[in-house]
Order: sequence, then C-alpha cells, then structure tokens
Amino acid sequence: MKDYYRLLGVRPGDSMEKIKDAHRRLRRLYTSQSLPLYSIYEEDRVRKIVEEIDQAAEVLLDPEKRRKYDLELLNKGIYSSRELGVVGEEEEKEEKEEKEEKEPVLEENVTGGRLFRRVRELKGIDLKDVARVTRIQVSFLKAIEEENYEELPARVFVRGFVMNYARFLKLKNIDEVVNDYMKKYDEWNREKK
Amino acid sequence: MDLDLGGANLHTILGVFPKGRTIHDFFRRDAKSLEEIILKPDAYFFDFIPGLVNALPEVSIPASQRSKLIRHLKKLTYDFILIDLGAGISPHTLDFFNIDAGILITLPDPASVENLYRFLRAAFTRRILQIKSGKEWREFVKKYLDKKGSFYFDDLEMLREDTARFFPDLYNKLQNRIESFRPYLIVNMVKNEREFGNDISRVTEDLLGIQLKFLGNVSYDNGVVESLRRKVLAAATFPDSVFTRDVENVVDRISKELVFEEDERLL
Repeated sequence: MKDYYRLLGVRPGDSMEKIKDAHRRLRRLYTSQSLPLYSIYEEDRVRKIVEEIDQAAEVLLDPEKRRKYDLELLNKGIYSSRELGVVGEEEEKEEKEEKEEKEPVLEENVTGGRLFRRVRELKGIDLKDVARVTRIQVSFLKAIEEENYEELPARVFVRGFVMNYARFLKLKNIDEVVNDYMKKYDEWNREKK
Repeated sequence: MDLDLGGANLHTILGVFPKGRTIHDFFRRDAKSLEEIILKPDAYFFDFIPGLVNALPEVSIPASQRSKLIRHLKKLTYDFILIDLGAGISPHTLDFFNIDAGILITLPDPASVENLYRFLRAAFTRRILQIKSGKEWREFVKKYLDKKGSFYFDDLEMLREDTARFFPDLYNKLQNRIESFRPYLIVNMVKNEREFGNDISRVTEDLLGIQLKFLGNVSYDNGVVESLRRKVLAAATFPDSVFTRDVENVVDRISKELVFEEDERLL
C-alpha cells in the first residue's frame, strides 16, 4: 500500500490547503526545466513519478476518498488515529483501552530486540509494513529484533535504525530503550574486538 | 583535517598558519604518526592537520597511502574528525567520502547541481563495485550501469534481484552497502532558494534511489568575503549574522544526526 502522505511530503491530518500546496510544488519541481532535475532528468521515470503524485493528490484532495484511504491506513496500523486526525470520542476511548491492554507487556521486563518484536506483534503489524514506513530494510529490522548484530551496518546507522523503529512503534521512554539497546550492542562490539 | 590535495587552504580560512609539518610529511614518511603533525591552535576547541601549503600540488595519492592514512585515523581519539576533501571526482575524494558520513556542499546553480549528482553517483557506484574485487563482479555490475557509468533507480532494483540469483552470497553485503549509503547535503551561498535543498533531496531519492539528507542552508553573506580577506573566521567576527546562525543550525543538525559515544571514533 502506497503512503500518499509521504509521497506528497505532507503529514496525515494536514489540511486540504497544505496538501494542495505540496502537490502544486511537486508538479513544479518535476518539469524538464527545473534546476534540481538538471542533468538527471529522464522522461519516462519523471512521467511515472508525476502520475504517482497526481494519483496521491486525487485521493487526498477528495474528502470521501481520503476518508476511505485513512481508514485503510488505520486498519493496517501504518498510522494511528491520532496521527490521522480521525479520533472520534468512541475511538479515543478504544485507543485508551487498547493502551491499557498493552501496558503490562511493556513492564514484563521485555527488553532489547524482544521488546520491539513483542510490541510489533501486539499491534499486529507486519515487518514489511514497518519497512515501508521507516524505510529500513526488512532484513535489518529482523536483525534488530533478533539482536543479530552481525547483520547490521555501521554503528551510527544502527542507532538511527533503532531510534526510528522505536518511534514507529511509539515505545515509551524511547531514549531509554535506544540507549539500552545500544549498550548491549556496544558490549557485543567490545567482545568482538 | 585538510585533505584537499590540489588546493589546501583551510589554514587560511582558520587563520592558522602551519610553520611546521603538514599532511605531506606524513605521506613522505617524514612524520611517523598523525600526532606529530597535529596543530593545537589556541583560538579553537579543535585540533587541526594542515594540508600541503607550498609545493607542486598532487591531485591524488596512491591507494596504499589512502589505506595507511585511514588506518592511522582510526587510532586517533576524537569525537569527530572532519575531513575537507575539496572538489572533484577522484579515487581520493570518493574513498574518503565513503568512509563514513559524507557531507556534500553545493550551490544552487546548474553547474553545481550537475557536479553534485555526478559525484553522488560515482561514490555510490564505487561503493558497489568495491564489494568484491575481481573482473567477474565488475563485469556483472557494469551491465546495470547507464551510459554515464552510474545507476538509475530501476537498474538498481534489477541489480538487487539478479545479485540474489547469481551471487547469493553477496546479496546481504550489497543490501548493506546500499542501505548504509546515507550522504548529507548542505546548500551554500543561498539567497532566496530556501527550498532548493529539500527539492534536491527529494529528486535524488526518486530518481537515483539515494537518500540524501538535507542538513540546511547557509545564506550568502558579504561578511564572509570580508572575513576571508581579513583571514579571520566569519562566525567569530560576525556572531550575530545570518550566516553564523545558519552554520550553527547546520552544526546542530550534524551532531544530532551522528551521535557518537565517548569511545567512538569516526571509522
């Protein structure tokens, strides 16, 4: 499922006006005379991109289509109802209950890679969907969850990956979780040396 | 560290004039270690290794010297090591750019844009070619390069798929090399093209499949020219200028992006 919000460089919940502006700006960017495209302009590829952003705008600028699309994003867990700005009273209540349900898991002393997996599974999100939103490859996400450090790239990227993944899962105490993860990673690194 | 081999001039910009030895003493083996050529200017909170000041400039150094320098850099204990590479595409600039977080500085004009993309694609291509030495891999990768000798997004997808088929043992390494290529962009001498950097970043991802992170603009400022003429740091001379504010903003972004632990080195 394509993330039309990302495609237009806007956030879910942004106003129609903002989406319209973003679309207009991108259409201006993707023309043969545009400076940022100088020397890499390629007609076929650019046409495809323009089609995609038009498609995104078509959905997001039509209130009915956007509503349906948002619902789909919500069901797939790609964005929360809060992010999508579609929190009704009932949903808010549900969300609260949902959170309360999740609470015990986070306090069960689940740490490191296992914490990521547990929370993700609890939310019923597929690794592929995580990869699509965070732009982190599935194999890296898997390695993070399994603490398979060998498979991960240089440390500075690992930290970024872990941070983004934690943000995606909306973990509590993100800094703490990330530092904790990196501490274990560093221990492994030292032993390796 | 000034590694702009053809036109070292950081000392002038910093107002630190090397009386003693430079990086070339290291290359010529007159200096055994980098520590011997490190300057510790009183005016700054950082140390400095000057580049070649007066001799015939060398455009590149042999690969053996490059790896020796990298080895010695690894032994240094600094929070950050900033390497000024100068412009142009050469094995020298590409390899040092690829060591870790490479930061590109460009201007909002067509010639700079062209060079920016050419450099990015060359660095990326070199990264992939270097996965394995030998003709077999080189010839295989070359099939996916366009006329200009670099990748377009779609070719890259094909290369991924075919690598899985023909070089399965290299697949993870290839993925790793692609994913871990995260160059950064600063746009210099900006007048009113505030969105230019974001646009470049967007286009680079869409068309070249490379995530180029935009760190910020540095505004055009007459004070910088004046500072250069007076051989003093612009940020120190005009602390309240737009230029200085921009630089601070960019530095802030860099340090947030690259979080290093105490014992972490650049490499």
